[in-house]
Amino acid sequence: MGLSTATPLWATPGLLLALVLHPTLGLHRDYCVLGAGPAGLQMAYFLQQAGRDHVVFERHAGPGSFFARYPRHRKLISINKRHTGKANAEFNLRHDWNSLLSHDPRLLFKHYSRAYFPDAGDMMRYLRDFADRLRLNVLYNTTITHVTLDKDRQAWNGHYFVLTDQRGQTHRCSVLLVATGLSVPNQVNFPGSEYVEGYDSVSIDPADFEGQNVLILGRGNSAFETAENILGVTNFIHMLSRSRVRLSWATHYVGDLSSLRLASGGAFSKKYPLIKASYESKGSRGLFVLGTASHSVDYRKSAGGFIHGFRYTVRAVHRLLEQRHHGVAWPFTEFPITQLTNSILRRVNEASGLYQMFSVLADVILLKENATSFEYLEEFPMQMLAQLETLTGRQARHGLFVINLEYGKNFSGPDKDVFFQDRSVGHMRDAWQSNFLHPVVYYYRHLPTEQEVRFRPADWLLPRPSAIHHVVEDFLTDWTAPVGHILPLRRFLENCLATDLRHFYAESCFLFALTRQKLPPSCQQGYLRQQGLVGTEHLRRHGVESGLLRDYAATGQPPSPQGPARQPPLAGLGVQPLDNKKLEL
Amino acid sequence: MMFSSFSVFRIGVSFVLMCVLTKATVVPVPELSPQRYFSTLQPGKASLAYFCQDAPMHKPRERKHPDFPNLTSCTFIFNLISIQGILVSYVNCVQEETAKYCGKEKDLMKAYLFRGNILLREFPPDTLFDVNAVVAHVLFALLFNEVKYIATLEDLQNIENALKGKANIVFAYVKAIGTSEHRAVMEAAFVYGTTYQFVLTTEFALLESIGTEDIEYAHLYFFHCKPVLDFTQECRKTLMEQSLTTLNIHRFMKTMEAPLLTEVAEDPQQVSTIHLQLGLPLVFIVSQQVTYAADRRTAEWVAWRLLGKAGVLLLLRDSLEVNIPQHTNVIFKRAEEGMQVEYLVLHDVDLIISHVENNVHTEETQEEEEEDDELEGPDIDIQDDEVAESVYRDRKRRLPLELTVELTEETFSRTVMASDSIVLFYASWEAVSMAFLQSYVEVAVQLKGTSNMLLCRINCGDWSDICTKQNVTEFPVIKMYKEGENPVSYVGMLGTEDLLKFIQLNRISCPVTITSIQEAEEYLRGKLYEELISYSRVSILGIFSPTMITAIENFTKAGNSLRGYVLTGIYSEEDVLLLSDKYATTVPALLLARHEERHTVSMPLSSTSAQDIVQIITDALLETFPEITVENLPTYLRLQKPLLILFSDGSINHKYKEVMAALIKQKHLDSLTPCWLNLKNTPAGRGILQVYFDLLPPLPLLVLVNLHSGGQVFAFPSDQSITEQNLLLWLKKFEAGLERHIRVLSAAEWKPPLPAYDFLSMIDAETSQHAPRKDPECMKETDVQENYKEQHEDTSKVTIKHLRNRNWFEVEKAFLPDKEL
Repeated sequence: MGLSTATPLWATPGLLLALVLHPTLGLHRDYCVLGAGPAGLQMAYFLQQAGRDHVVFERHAGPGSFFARYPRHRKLISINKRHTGKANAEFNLRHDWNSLLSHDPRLLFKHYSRAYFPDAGDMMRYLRDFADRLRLNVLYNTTITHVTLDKDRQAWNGHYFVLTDQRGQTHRCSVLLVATGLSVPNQVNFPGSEYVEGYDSVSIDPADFEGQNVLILGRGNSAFETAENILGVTNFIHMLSRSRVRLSWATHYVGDLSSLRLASGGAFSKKYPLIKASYESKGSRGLFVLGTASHSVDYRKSAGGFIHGFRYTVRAVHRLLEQRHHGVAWPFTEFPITQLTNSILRRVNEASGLYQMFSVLADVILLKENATSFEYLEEFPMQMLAQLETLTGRQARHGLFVINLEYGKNFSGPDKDVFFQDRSVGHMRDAWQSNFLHPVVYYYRHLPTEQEVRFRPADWLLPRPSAIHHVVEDFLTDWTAPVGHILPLRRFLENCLATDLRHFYAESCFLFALTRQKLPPSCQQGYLRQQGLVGTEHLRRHGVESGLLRDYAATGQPPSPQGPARQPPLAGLGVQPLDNKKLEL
Repeated sequence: MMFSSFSVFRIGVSFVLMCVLTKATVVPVPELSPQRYFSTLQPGKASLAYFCQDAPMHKPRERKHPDFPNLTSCTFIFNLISIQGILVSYVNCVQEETAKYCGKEKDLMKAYLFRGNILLREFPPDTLFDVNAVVAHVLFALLFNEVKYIATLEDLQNIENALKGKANIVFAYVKAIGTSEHRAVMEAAFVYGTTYQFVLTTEFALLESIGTEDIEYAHLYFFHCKPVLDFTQECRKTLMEQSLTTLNIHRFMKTMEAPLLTEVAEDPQQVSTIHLQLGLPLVFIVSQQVTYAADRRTAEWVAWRLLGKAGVLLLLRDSLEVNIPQHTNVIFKRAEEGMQVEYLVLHDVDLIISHVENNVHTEETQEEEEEDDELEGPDIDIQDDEVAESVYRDRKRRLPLELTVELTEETFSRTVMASDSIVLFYASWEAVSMAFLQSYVEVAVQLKGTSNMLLCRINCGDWSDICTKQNVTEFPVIKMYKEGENPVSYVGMLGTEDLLKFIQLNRISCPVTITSIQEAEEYLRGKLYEELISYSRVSILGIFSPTMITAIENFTKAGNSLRGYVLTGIYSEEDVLLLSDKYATTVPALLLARHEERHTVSMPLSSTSAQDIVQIITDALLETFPEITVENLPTYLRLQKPLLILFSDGSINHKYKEVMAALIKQKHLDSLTPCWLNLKNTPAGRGILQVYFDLLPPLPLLVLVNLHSGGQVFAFPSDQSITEQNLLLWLKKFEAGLERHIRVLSAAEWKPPLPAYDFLSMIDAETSQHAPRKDPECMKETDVQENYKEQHEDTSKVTIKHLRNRNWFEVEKAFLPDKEL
């Protein structure tokens, strides 16, 4: 999805920047964005929202010029599912693969196309509206012909990026954000390759192929798109490629065929620049790669090469920049510990970033001292976990949880039969063997070090945690079953924190308050602050029937002491306050 | 063989106990004629005789016993043992019909117990249905003085009191007389009856009063009454956890007799105590000179908790010649011979206990486990959250939700702007908010048609964006939206009554502006807002002269932040002096009208910051002798003072109120929070009393609870009447530290109720199992398959094992540095 702005930047693997000392001082910008494609516009939006000094350079007269030519047969491969049966806007982004993130609900792609696989022209129109309505600061018709580094101790990153445009005008930038897409089509050399018509130049008129034998190299989305177009008129179509056909619903990778369509995979090392998991160039500090070109971070794993993936990674990069250059910490919400289970449940059930960029972006929970409260940070690049404190400006001294969505180890892979027997896991006990995308919670007592992240065990996304929890898979990605999902998660969190995270009614808290020296967190943070949960008669009766509550009113005289916390003084360290005896037998 | 060492003279029956333990020895029971039988009776010797109408030897009748269909009424006696030297005879009535003990009905068997030739007891035909019944009944009759049968708690209390400082008690509950458990208890009493007082009951209420709820099983407790010197102190109780068999009871008794804690200074490998002989492990607490006192306390604590399960010893490391690993603080020695002692580093008493229990458990239950994997104790998949469970169980009931307005993204802003609204933000998967939704609907029902406040709700599971925009990140949240005002969050109790009060009190502005003296008087008398008085027992009126602009502003702010919780009004007209004079104060001041007591007090406002005013009002709302309830306890707990609670079944006698009032007035109760609890209004109070008292004295009952420092509970002697004088004296004793507490409240932390699935080790287990498969070179094809099969079978086992191995974090903790022990 991105071949545009042919700057000479991508001539070889990685980045080759002409390191010329350039004393000319042009116009200064804190942030320069190259390319007004989806990624560039997305970054411009965040920079603008944060009030940062920035500009976008675009060589064409409008945004999203890629879509003027590609895909050649005009149909986008990204789904536009307009009705999900749910109202939750965040959740719906899980099924909207074309919208960029913004505060304006009118700028959702569903308002631009009704097609499930929309037309590229609609995307052009959408991007134009996005740039215009949000008044993004884009310099059109500006081709950056030359980029140099200007070393300067005063600069944020030790150097400035000096950009020269086609008019010879220079622009000095503290941070350079490259969102130009990919510019090198795969070149295949073999006898007869001179007869090859590239995807970018092939005719899209079926009549040109009337009665011919056509050999299509590749079996990716472009190949099938082309084949489908000319199928009715040709004599014979051969398709040739190194690997067998990969269907995206088998690999969960959009770059694989989504029911017979998509782009060229393969020559990975040639196509993508070398960047870190934070999307910063390994060679030049302050240079970030956004959008399709940043796909190396999660190539063949997640959706980072596509709009519905990079809209989140761009946001992550922006958050890193805010912390690095403006001291604005990674956004977080602080909660009392009683909200721990809930906060995780809410996110895994609705978050779209976690879902689209599974195993790349993960939520992080930082525990505060004594684990009475915690901070919730969303969508952090999980491979940068060791550098979390510097990148986010938050402290991780008292342990942390990482919440990720993962496929089972047995699931993915193009050769596997996704409908193999026993592929779905039903019991919570076997949750760790879940195959479909499911939440995984890692608990670390201490922030892992860079070494630990780098030398983690094979097959592990993160270093070995102190404890791990898998929430059992659910076909509807609805992880709200009280016993199937919530209870095991609570038990896991409780055991990590060595505390009791159950909720209690006010009456139970009342009893505990007068019969024990310590109270469970839910009583401390609710009842003791006069915010106890009173409950109703119906609920009380159910509680009594379940054996978890006692009916004191019916007890009469003499009272029977099966109640909570009935412990002789020396058994004071007992763990189980309720139903002591019952649980022992 | 256990009893062989005891040769005892008992009840005038002289005999040597040979072997009564294991299997019943089949001894032919002599068949005698009645005449012959009576001639054999020796003075002082007990004998049991069966009188039967038929001749079992010759023509056994096939009449089935109802409970034991395999036994005919007479013949089964032949299989009886001769009980512990008691002569058991069979008397055939057919031979001599005149014998008076022979029943009248032909086939009725009767049994009689004689001592010498004195009849002790006649047994109805159906009582002696099997061996256990015979032994139990006979011993029960013979040991009449040694084993007290009781039916009420009072009996038990009396025995306990009578024996304090003198002897220990063995208290047993059996479901019925004549059972095998009963027999086991009686056999134990036969041996230990002179050493301990045996008490037997079949009343489960009694058992419950001691704190057990499993009346399905027999229980045996050892009451340590001998060491109790203070009459008010209770006897410590140890529950025997094994099943009631003669062997188990014997073992239990032996451990009760053994010293609680032994100090040793020799190689733990060599140490042996009675516990090892009884098959119980030993726990050594390693101590050093420096920490001796603390270690001894810990060891005693451990010893009490392990009483009957393991022997506890204090090992003095300094004088020890053998080397033990440096950080070891606990040594565990199994009862099995030839086992190496384990050197452990455990930093929590609970860990020691669980270590012992886990190890003992495996020995005992190994066989059971194979039979029945289900009986593993608490199931971690069973809900133990009372809120989640009750909400789940109630999920099918339809709530009258139509009384509340459901909002969506489109309707939200429109609705809350158009009218005064309350909005409940909830999530349908979140238990607390769903529980509260029920109360919310109850409020809607009560307000139906009477309020202009619109009750709305929004499901944040659907409308996440709206909730986030309204700053709602947790559930449930209740906000009130009024035109032209910032939304106000409700921060009271999540219940029907409190929310209703909040809504009702918000019908008027807060503080409400009073415009004339007359109106002020009406306001203070509760006439101005009569319908609201039931929601606010106190009305506050701030009085200011019109020039006090900042004070007025601050009071307005304070009143605003108290909106929904108390009625506040403000009066700042020129003639305000009329009011201040009347209530003998100077402006600025607060007038506080307590409607129930019909009196108004005044308080000058020295400090006038809004925050201070809120504090003054909140403090003023506290009563001096409140009835404590579930709802108001937190307010009083904030004072951080010991509670002096008068428990009462129903409302309290006026004279107690007077006593308290007098003491409060004399400032004797300043360091306490005096209050009372009405069990009728607050039934949970019963649960509290059950924790405080083993045996509930009659109500009303005065208790002092030192919640915030130490957790001791003191009870005002129930034999004294609650008078000013007595109470004062008692409090003085308490302050001087002379009063003994009846209970110390548990200071236990709230640990996870149950363990979690240990996925990490499950993954590890799988990884390690896969390891050999990576090296296929040395395996032939068949081997691989077999191997695979084995591994496959193994997997299931491993999974189960890991499930058992639940205290995964506990174990890990043991390796963390900690200096608690």
